[in-house]
Amino acid sequence: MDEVKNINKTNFAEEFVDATEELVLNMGPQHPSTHGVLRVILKLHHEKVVDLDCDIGYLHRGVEKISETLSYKLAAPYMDRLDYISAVSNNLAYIETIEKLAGVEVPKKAQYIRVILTELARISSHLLWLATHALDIGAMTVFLYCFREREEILNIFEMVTGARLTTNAFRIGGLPQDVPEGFEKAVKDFCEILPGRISEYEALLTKNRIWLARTKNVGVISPEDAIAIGLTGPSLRGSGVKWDLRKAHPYESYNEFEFDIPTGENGDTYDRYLVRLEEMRQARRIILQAIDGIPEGDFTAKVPKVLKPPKGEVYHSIEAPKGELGFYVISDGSTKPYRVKIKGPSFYNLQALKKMCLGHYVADVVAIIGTLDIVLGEIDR
Amino acid sequence: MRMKELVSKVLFVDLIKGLSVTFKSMVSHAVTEQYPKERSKIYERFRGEPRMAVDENGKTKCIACNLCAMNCPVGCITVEAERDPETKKRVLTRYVFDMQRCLFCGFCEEICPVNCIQLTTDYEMSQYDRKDFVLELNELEKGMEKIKYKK
Repeated sequence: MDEVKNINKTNFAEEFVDATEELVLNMGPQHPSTHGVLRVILKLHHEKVVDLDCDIGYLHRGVEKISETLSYKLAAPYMDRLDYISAVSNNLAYIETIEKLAGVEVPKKAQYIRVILTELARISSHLLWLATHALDIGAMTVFLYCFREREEILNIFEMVTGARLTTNAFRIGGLPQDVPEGFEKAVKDFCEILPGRISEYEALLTKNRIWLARTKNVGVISPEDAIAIGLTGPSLRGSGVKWDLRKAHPYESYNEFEFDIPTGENGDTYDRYLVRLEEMRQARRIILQAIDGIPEGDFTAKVPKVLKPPKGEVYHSIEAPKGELGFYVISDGSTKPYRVKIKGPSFYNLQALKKMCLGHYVADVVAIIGTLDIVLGEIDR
Repeated sequence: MRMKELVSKVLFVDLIKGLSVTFKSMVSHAVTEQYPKERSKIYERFRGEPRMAVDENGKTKCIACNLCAMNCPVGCITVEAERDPETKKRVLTRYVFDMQRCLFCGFCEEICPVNCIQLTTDYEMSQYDRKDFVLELNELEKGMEKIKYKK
């Protein structure tokens, strides 16, 4: 009886709220906004994130090990399936590493077409990022608009490489075949409609009060932290660090093109959104310069049918849409690589999730996963 | 500047701007297609269903060189051949293509010296049974048996 009296004396509701324990919540691996099979274990106090841990590996296929059992050429289609929304970039990174290892010189014409295709892949990847990121936050309309433009890019991929998603676009030494007729026109047509479409997305989002409330000051990361964690790509540039491998260590013919590196100021989700939109415009600028300047010549270099690179090891990285994508290949002089190590940008970018999420609401975790632009196919490999 | 922001916030300028985009697309052309009736253009280089070419006599072009099987990253092609005792040439006895494993990378098509195996522009490859995806030579020559969906 005494206990009952005591409860009545205090404000019951207040005590109940204070007594709330920390709650462990499993988000994923089937959660739709984790962009694949990411499992995030959240420790919550009320609705705020106190602690967080990521569980990865649900999509592990052993690509690194498989490529040790295949010849250098045959492993290339597997690399398309790392980051499957920008397959062309992945393929380029692998092929370039092998070319560096074997000392193959690629003709200028092939380099220009490679640049065009990878920049198209960058736009396509950013479009898909914008579509899903906006969908996660609740802006449903943008989703279908972005897919409308992405369709145009996929059509160009189908025209040139023969597939829409897993393109297998490049070969060691150049391209599998010359570009078909109508390629230039299709690319130019796309470049013509793109700026108008980007301003449509901007009209829907950039000044929208809900979008601002959901993205401003969410997932802030300082430039020092971003560098320490190892963020690359737009996630790093959103914090104001001007680092782009296309400028820092130019590969292919990127030193011949003019383009700017957009950077953010605050390092929040909104800034990263602006950086990616600007990157799409810059990618278009590169494409237009490249398509007007495609030189005459061969589309592939002479490469022996059975490729046996000399003994040695090489690291090569490119600026993929999501960040620095590197390949570290060791050759023992045979037809198969001794070791292939993949440094995927999504894996490194995911490490910033904890730092960005602490103190935010559960709903913001979804926005922050979206802004990091991760692909689980590349994290788990 | 502050005043301007406040006025635009009260007058819902940001939302009206966004809605204008939505209304504009409502009166523009449809970008979707009604799939089974309308089909989008498939480009010539599309890598779809595999097909084995035959010569003018209706015999297979395949010379059983085994290059396609060696150049397949997943090993989905099996070539079995015998040596003809009279002509001393390799003659194809069995050719199996496992579509379940195929990556559609196109290496087999590229390497084939006689343009026998080709990846066609057919893309409707669904079947009800897994064993129907393992194609023998005669199926590869005339194409996969398509199952028509009945109402």
